Amino acid sequence: MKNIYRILTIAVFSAVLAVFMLAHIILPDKKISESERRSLAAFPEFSAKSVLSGKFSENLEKYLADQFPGREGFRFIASASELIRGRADVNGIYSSNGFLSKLDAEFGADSVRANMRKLGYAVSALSDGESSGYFALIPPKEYYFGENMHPRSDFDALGETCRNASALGSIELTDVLELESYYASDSHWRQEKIVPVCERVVRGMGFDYTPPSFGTVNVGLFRGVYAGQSGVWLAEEELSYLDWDGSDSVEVTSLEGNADRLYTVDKYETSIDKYDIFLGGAVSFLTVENQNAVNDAHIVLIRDSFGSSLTPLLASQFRKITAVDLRYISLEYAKKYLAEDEAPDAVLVILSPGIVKTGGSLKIKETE
Amino acid sequence: MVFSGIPFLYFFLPVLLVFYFLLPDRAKNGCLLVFSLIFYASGEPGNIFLMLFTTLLAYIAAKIGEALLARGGPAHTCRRISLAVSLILLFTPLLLFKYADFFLRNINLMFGADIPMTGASLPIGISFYTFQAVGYVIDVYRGDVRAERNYFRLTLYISLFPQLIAGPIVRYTDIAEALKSRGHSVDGVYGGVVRFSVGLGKKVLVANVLGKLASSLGSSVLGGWLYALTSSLQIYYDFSGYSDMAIGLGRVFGFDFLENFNYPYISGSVAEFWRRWHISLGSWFRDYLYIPLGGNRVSFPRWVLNVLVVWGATGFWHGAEWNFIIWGLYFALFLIIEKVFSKGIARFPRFLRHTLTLLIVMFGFVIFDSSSVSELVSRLGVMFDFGKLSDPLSLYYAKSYALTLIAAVIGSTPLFVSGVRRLGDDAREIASPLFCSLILVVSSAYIINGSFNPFLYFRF
Repeated sequence: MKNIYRILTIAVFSAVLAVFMLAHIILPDKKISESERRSLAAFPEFSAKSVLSGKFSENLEKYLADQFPGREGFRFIASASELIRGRADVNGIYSSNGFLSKLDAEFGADSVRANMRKLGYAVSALSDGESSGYFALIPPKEYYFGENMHPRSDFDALGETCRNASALGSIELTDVLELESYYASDSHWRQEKIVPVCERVVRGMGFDYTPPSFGTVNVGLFRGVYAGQSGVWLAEEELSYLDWDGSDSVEVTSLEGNADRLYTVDKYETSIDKYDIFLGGAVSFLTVENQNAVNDAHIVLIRDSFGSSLTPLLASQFRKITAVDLRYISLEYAKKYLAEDEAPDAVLVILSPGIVKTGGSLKIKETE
Repeated sequence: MVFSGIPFLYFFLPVLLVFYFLLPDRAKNGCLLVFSLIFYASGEPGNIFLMLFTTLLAYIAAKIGEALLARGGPAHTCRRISLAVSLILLFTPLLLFKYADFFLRNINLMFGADIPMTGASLPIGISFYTFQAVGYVIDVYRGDVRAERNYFRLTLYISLFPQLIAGPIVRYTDIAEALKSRGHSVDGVYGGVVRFSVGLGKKVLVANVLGKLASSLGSSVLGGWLYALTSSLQIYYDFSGYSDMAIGLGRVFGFDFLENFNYPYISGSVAEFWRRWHISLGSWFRDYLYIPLGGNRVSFPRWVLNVLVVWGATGFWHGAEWNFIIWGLYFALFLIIEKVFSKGIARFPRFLRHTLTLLIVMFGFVIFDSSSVSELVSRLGVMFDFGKLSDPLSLYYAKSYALTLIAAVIGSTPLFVSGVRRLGDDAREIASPLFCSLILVVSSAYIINGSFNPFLYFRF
C-alpha cells in the first residue's frame, strides 16, 4: 500500500517534468507577450564564443523561461500564490477601490528641481524664448484613492515643488479629474473623460475654447498594462475614443511615419499596447493640423503617452499642434525640425509624475 | 546552471534520469560523470579544466601518500613533506583565483604600491571542490581511507553535480563505498524526490521571496531590523534549501550525503549554532585545521589563538573581503566569551540565551551581507538611529510580508516538521504525490514569473 504512494510520487513528479519538457520542445516559440507588453526571448546564438563566454548559457535560461509552455497560466499561479500569502501587492501592482495601480516611491526634491530646470530650458529652446510656456502635471490615478496602506509619493508636494522650481505658467488639473477618469487596469486616463482637461489647458494658455460635439466610439475590449503586470487581474474594459465633426480632415504627420491620423484604430489588432490607437502610440515628433480649429494658433506640446489621447481633443482647438516626446527624440533634433516650421504661439509641458521625478529618460542637454 | 532553474528542472534532470535508470549498473557512474561535467561546463566551460586539474593533483598526491604510508619508518618525514607540497599545490588555484586580488589590493593600500590586479574571475564552486580534494588527500595521508585507484571514480567524487558548486562538502570516506557499488530502490528515489521538493520550495518560495523583501526596505530602525531578520532567514532558507536539493538528488542516485543544517535558529549558544549551521564546513575546519592545531587540548592563550585562526579562516573562506574576516572573528570572540563565562551563562534561562544567540547571529549576517566596512557602519547606524523609528516603505512591507515572515520563522524551527509528523506516516505518504507536484508547479511558476533567483552561496 505504502509503495503505491511512493511510486505515485515519483511518477507524478517525473511526469510533470517530462510533459513540460516535451511541450517546450514541440510547441512553436511565441514572439511577444501581450500581458507583459514585451518581446519574448528567442533561441540564443549558438557559437563557440557564446558558449565559452557563458553568454549562451545565460541567454538560454532566459529563453527557456520566456517560452515555457503555459507561461501565462504559470504567471497567474505565481501571482495568485502571492495574494494567498496575504501580500498587499503583486509584482508591485495593487488594487484599491476596484482600480489597479503601481507602488510608488517618494520623490527626491533635488532631482525634481533639476528636471524642471531642464524642461524650462527645453521650452525656451523650442520657442526661441519668444512664446509663453506652461506646465501641467498629470495627477496619477492613486491621487484619488483616498487613504490606504500602499506607499505613494505626495502628489501635492510634488506639484508645489514643480511650481516653485519653474517660471512656467502653472495649469492645475486635479479638480477636473476623478478616479473614474482613468482605466481600472491601466495607468492612462480615458479619453472620453478628459474633455475638462482639454478645456482647462486651452483656457489656461489664454486661448478660446469651444468644444465640438463629441461622440464616443467603442473600439473593443482591452486589459491594461497593470493587469498584465499583476498577472492575476482578468477583467477587461472597453477602449473608446471621441470622434467629432471634422476630425477626419485633420492632417497628422509623424517623423517615424507610423501615425497619419488621429486614431490609428488598426493598432488595436496589431499593437501590443492597445492604447496605441491614439496617435499611433510612441511617436517622437508629430504635427497635427486642423484648418477649421477654434484658434488660429500653433502650440508645441512636450508630452508623454498621456498626451497621445489629449492631442486629438486639442486638435479641435488649435490650427497646428507639434507634439514632441523628449524621451524618444533629443531636444537638439526636435528644435531642428521645429526650426523648419513656424514659431509656436505657446509651449505646453504636460507630463505624468514619473517623468518629472526621474527625468533620466528626457533627452535634454543644456548647452548654456 | 542552478537546481532552481528551468534548464536544470525541465531539461537536464529529466534527460539524466532517463539515461541513468535505463543504463546498466556498470555504466551509471560514467553517466553521472558525463552529466556532472556538462552541469559544470554549462556555466563555466573554461574552468572545467581547473577542476579536472585539481582532481588529478588530488589523485596523484593521494597515491604518493598511500605509498609513503605503507613504507612507514623514515618515510614519515617524506610523507609530511609530500603532504605539505600537495596541499600547497591544491590550494594554489584557490589562492590565485579567489584571494590574489584581495592581497594585492591591501598591499597597494598599505605600501602605496601600484601592483595591477589579476582580474581573475572566481570559478564557481572552487571553494567547495578544493576543500573536498584537500580533505580526501589528508584522509589518505592519515591512513583513514585507501586512495582511490580509479581516476574517473575520484573525478566523479569531486565533480558529482548535486554537491559540486555549493556543497555540502562531502567527505570521500562517506561515499567511497557508494561510488564503487550502490543500490537503488523506490524508497531511495522517493526519499530523494521529497527532499528535493522541500529544498526547491525553501529556495524559491521562501528564500527568493525574502530576498525581494530585503532589497525593498526603507531606511529606518524598523527597516534596518527587518532587513537583519529577513536577511538571516533568507540566507538560511537559500542555503539549507540548496543543501536539501543536493541531498535529495544524491539520494535519487544512491548516495547518502550527511546533513548540512539542523535547525540552527533554535540554538542557545554560538557554539551550538555552529554545530547546526553549514555542518559540513564546520566539521571540515574542525578536523583539518582546529584539531591539527591542538584544538582545546592546549594552554588557554594557545586555544584562543587556535579559535581566532580557525574562525578567521572560516570567514575568509566565505569571501575575499574584510567584512568576511570580521564576520569570522566576530563569532570567534563570542565563542571565547562563551567558553570563559560558561558557568555564568548556563545560569541564564534558555529563552534568554536563545534570544541573545539570535541577536548575535542576526548582527553577524548584517556583517556578512555588507560589501564594505563603510556599508556595514551605515547599516548598523540605521538600526540604531532612534530619530527615525519607521518609514512608510518599511511599514508597508512589514504588513505585506507579515504572513510570509511568520511562516518563515516557524519553518526555521522543528515545529512545522513535528506537526507534519503527527499526521502519521500513512497520511504523509498519501499526501506526498500532491505535495511534491504542487511544490514543483508553484516553484516553476515563481521561476517563470520573475527573474529574481539568486543563489547566495554561489559566490564561494
